[in-house]
Amino acid sequence: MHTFLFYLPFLLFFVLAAVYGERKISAFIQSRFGPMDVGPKGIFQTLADLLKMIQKEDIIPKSADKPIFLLGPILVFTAIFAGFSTLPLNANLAGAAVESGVLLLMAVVSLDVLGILMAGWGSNNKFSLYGAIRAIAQIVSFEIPLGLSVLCVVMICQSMDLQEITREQGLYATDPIFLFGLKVMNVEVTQMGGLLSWNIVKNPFLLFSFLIFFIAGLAEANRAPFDLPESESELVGGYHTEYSGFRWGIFMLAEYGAMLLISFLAVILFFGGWNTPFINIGSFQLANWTMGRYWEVFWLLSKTLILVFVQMWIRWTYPRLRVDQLMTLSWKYLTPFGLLLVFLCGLWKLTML
Amino acid sequence: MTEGWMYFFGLLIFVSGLTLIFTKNLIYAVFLLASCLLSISGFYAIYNASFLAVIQILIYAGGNLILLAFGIMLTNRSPEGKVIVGHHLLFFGVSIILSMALVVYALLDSPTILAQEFYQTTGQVREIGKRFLTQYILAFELVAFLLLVVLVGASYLGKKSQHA
Repeated sequence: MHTFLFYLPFLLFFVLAAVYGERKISAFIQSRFGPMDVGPKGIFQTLADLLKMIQKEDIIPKSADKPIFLLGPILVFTAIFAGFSTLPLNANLAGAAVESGVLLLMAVVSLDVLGILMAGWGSNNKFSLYGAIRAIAQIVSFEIPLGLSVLCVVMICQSMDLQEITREQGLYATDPIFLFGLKVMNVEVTQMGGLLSWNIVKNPFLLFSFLIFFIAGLAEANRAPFDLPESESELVGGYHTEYSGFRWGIFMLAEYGAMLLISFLAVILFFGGWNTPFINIGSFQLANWTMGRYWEVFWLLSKTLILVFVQMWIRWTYPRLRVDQLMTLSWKYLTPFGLLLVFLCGLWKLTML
Repeated sequence: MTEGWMYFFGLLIFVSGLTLIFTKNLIYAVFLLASCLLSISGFYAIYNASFLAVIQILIYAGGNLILLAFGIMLTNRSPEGKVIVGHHLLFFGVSIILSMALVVYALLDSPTILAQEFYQTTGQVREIGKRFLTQYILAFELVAFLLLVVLVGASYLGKKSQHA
């Protein structure tokens, strides 16, 4: 239920803030000012853009396949938003009570390919269709390294429930947690909580797994350096070339939603979800003091927003990949490394933990 | 509640399945098939087979269907998107439907399916994993091997057609 009551308003507000934030961050990276005119420091620029977008005429090309053309953007956003349903918010508010939560998330989010296909085909424009083919090839191939890196976490945690995975990374863990996952050193940190019980510290292999996850996640969310579907400078748009006004806005909403979803998933799988980063040291019970209903929401959201910032930072730092380089990266580098990591995590689980 | 959802998904399967058969537009057929497959996964979900529902979405709607749609997209768009449909496979279709109905009827009478087994939900995935690696290990390994062979074969075929 909190998906509708919390995540939907949060997503809408996030998009407003993130568009402004992205412009300001890109301006900072390129030594510019960014939007400055509308409101103090240009803070109302996104609102003005939104007003402009809503006022635009809703154009449907004459030879477009009307029902498919209209349904496309809605399906893309629905698929991304349905992914939010499995996310927990704090220790008491779990997501949808599905045992195979991560799997459901991956399955539902992969359906946005169908919406992209509808948009590309329905536009009845060969460049839109090429854009759709490019986007789908990208999303389908990067799902494999993404799935492999998620599999590493699932193997270590022995659960696919996102709430369960989060709970095992903090003070509420039921199994004892050892420092760096090394039982031989016999330093138990279950009561210390915080940073030391996060998955990437619990099992150092998961750090590499996180890198693969993050790269593949960027490609899934169509973010730079993998934003071929909408590379405005050289390919002139992709599957959403023919859309105008608010229908185009829904695509942007879906893109920022996917960005947020990937960050949420990365935080939950690798960085302890709603668990605090502080550690209990002696009488300084920092972890205990910073855990509670609202603290947990705060930790989840702040870690997620940091990852969103990293995504924007990457966007304005790296140049865009060509489509063949993209495929090479996915199939020749990320997938073999992902397989290797799955193997190593299996060994780690059998011998160390 | 469950019954209401059952009728909803059933109606969805029925309507989209029938339209799928009678539509002349190939790309509409793909999207109707998607709606049909998703409704089937809805059916699994309301009867507490959540793992099966997720797998249904992942493999059929997310995997097979995308391949199908990709294939159709790369074919030539015929004028007005119409396809010519013959009726020469009608006999096989009807006989397959009848034999499926017979199998379902036989399953309904069989004593191996007990009513209370439908509502055990906790530990479903764990149980499936355990059974795969103990009771059904041979079948599991054979399927895994078959998939590996398919994977290698597919990449070999892809390579060959590139050089030909």
